[in-house]
Amino acid sequence: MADIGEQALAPKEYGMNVLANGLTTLFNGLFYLIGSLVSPVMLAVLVAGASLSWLALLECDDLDRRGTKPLVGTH
Amino acid sequence: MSNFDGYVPDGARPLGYVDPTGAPVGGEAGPIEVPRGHLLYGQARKIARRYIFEGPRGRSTRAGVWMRYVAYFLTIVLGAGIAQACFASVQGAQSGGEWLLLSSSFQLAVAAIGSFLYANRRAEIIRQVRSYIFGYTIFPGVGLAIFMWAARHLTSGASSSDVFVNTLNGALPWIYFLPVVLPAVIFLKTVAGMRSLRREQLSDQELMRTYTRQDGGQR
Repeated sequence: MADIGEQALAPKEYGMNVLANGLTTLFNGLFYLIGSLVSPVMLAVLVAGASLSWLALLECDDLDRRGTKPLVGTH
Repeated sequence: MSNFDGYVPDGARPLGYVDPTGAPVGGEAGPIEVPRGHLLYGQARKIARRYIFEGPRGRSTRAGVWMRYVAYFLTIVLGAGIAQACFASVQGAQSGGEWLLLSSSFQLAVAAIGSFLYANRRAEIIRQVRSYIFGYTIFPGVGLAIFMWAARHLTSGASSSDVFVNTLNGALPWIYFLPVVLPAVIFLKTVAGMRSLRREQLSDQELMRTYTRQDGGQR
């Protein structure tokens, strides 16, 4: 039986299995999350909400422009 | 809610100011000085200027805009839900509410992108998208869906040879196509053609003068 020093010095096999399995697990979880959350309806709701928020920001910006005089650094 | 939300009183004091008489400083909305160059300096200055020009009403005006847009969102979702419920029993058209939602969000996305591409027309784009969504898509679509639901239930006892009922049941899904799918296409065309000449409000003479740069603008 080889002693501990020989065991430590013996060449080891390094594989990518652990990494590959971990990545596969992570990606499976990610795909499951996306698949369960993203549907055409959810996408449409998100797009509508984001677009409406942008248009509301534009209206507020227009209000700002109408409400205040322009800033002039030097006159 | 941050301290930068409106209300910059006159004589804003620096952070950590101690009143020499020992009186409490600040109160509910503590005065705060945002140093020049701070990340929020521009925003704080904008809000302070708004307060100077509009007073406390400026904030409520903007809150009103946001509440109106929240109401738009809820109306769209609610309308799509009602249409979906009405279509649940209609053979071959079970996804009617989803189509209503998809059409509305497509038009909103077109409006949002159009506001980038045609920034000088953005007020008109906002007016148009409101008119298209609520005037042509949501309310007519929901009305038709309710009518279809009612027609389906009122005529459920009719015989299969009833020509009127058969025609009605066959035609209504096609009529539903009109307010739901067509406005999306037409609105896309409207936004894409925002700068076309035929939309100009100028007289012919004025238009050609401007278009050929004979308007004196080059001097």
